Amino acid sequence: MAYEIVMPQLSDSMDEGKLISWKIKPGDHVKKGDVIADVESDKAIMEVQSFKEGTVKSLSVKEGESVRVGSIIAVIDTDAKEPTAYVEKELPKEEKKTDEKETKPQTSQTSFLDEILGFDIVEGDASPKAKALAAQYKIDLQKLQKEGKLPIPAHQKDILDYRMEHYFTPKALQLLKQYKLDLSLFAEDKKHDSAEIISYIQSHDIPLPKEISTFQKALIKTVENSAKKPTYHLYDNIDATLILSHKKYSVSVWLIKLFAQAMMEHETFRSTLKQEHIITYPNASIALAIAHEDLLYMVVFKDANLLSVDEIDEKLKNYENKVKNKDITPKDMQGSTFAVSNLGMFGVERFDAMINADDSAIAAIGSGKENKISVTLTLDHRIINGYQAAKFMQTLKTLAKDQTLFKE
Amino acid sequence: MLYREALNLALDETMAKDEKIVVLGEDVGYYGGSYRVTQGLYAKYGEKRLIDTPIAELSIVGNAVGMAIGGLRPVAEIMTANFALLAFDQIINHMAKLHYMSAGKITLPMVVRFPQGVSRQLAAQHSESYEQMLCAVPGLVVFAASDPNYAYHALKKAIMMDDPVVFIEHELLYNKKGEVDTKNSIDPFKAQIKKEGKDITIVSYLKMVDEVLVAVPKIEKELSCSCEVIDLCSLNPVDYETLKKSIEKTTRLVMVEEDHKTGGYGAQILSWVAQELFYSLDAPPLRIAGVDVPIPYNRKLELASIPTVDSIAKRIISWGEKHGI
Repeated sequence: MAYEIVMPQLSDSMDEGKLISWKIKPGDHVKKGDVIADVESDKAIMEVQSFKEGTVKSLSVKEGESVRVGSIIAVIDTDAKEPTAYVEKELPKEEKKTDEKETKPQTSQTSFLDEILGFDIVEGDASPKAKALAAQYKIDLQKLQKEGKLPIPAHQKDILDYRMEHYFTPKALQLLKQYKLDLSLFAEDKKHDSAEIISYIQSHDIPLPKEISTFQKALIKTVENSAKKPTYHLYDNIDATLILSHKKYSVSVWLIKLFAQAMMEHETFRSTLKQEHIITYPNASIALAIAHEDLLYMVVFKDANLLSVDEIDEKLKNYENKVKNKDITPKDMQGSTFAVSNLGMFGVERFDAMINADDSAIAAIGSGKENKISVTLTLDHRIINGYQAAKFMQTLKTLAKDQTLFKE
Repeated sequence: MLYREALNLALDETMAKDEKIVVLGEDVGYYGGSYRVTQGLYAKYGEKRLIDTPIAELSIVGNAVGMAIGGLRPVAEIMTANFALLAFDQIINHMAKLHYMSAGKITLPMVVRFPQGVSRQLAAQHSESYEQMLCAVPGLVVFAASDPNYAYHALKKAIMMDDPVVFIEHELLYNKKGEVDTKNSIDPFKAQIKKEGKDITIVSYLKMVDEVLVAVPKIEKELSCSCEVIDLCSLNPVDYETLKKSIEKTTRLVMVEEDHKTGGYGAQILSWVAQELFYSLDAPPLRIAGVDVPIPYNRKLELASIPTVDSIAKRIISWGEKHGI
């Protein structure tokens, strides 16, 4: 049967392609996956493969010519048996002439074996499996062993390692591993670099498979649980004149101090729902959201009401280091009833947050305007009602203006 | 359940269902069997179905052949494979061939149970294995039970099958404990993958399966590889499909058997792999078998004459290191 190869569409915007060079000529035998031509799209030069085995019947485009996507560029006769045998293909011409008598029986022998085994026999000292692979990947075992590039005897692993190092740059190998791509997608005709792999990935729209870490799984579970809580929001601003006037400590540090104080006056903010009970802690423990790379940590300032601003500051720096070094332990993220998320430092004016793990509320801090910072509370209505929340905000506003607190 | 209890249950259940099934052999009736396999059955089914015979192995199998021709389903027990040599004329010339010689007019739905192998200091005349001879006889199905679950299902199938079956048991396995899943039957002709792995296929049968499984962790640690352990289960016919799949994956074969190496059963598996899977092999196949000596009485020499956990591990590790694992 005639198999027609057409100009492939190598990118969405490609209308026509320029045939850069032919890798085959009429009469050649091509295997499935063999590269038949280089084609230039509007973006890059790429290889065109044959998806069927057969003999090249005709080429209908000249090198350098441009044709529209979908036009026939070559016809392959898939009925034709492989006409040329191993010896004729591989041996240099001079050798063939001198050994003409010997070549003939060898030819029939190899094609006979070829038929049975599906591959040619290669010379060299190696395990049968290694030889089979060497034949499949067209690796000249004997020559490489003479050059010391392959051990004697060679095993499967040696061939596979050689193939990887020989045909792929380390960066390309890394990419293949990341994208879980099979090496056999790339023809063994030259060394493939990372740019080529990237262009393959882009042209074939291959997504990057990335496993979800245990940490991310935990995060997903936490936010899913959080979404089930019956919550409502409370939007307000607090005066930040005093907070901003203390350059020594960051806004986050002051907020933890203020919230801890306010929580001591409102026990519902120190409470959490556990099984059948609402339990209330004697001290105020606050979680603070710290992000690093694509991970989010909710580090806990345990009994923050007992800490001085200096101690809070030190603890925060300690946590930031731990997050950077990925040293955070589960213990660092337990025991809070309330949380603070500060996106104001990134210029976000106002937002609302999701309640963390077992907490009852969270304060989302925005940048606000004119010496004010915005506070949006997200509250779990099972534990804190609107009246209690409003009272809490009142306390917080008073504390924010309390000179005595900021003397430290 | 113990291995011998599993065999007992298989006999009991089939006998209860089909009254054509009779058991015959030395001490199988009143005494309950030398290895307690027929315990309790004499009381249940009586002397006509559990027949105590004289010490005359040729007549035990000969009678069984006659019973099978006459329409019964006899299960003959040979006390130990060593004594079966006397019965081999009946086994080879009659049990295996009558169906063929009669152009299919005669069928022999019979089983010969065959305890064998190196036990503990029973010396050369009581420690032999004969699977190599049995598997060389066309017409015989040969099962080798290495655990209670297979013993139960394979014996039931062997009894109910119309083909003559030699059912090989190992003398040291009778008290082996194991789960028996009576609800889900298994195909006794299929080899069992006892442990999955990706670098070495270790094929074995009967008691050596256990030795291999104990040796495997050490081998895997020393060679930093993973071993696939296959219990052949049916020695004739062989489940080559399962072997092929495994060896194509691992590219390496080790055969472990207790019997003497020369002319032993494993040679067939190696010859098959060399012929059929040569280009899938990344290492020469390794065959670990007993030494070519009559089994010694002395305990230390006895253990030195057969593969043990230590010797299996040692041999596979040094072979692996030599051949690029």
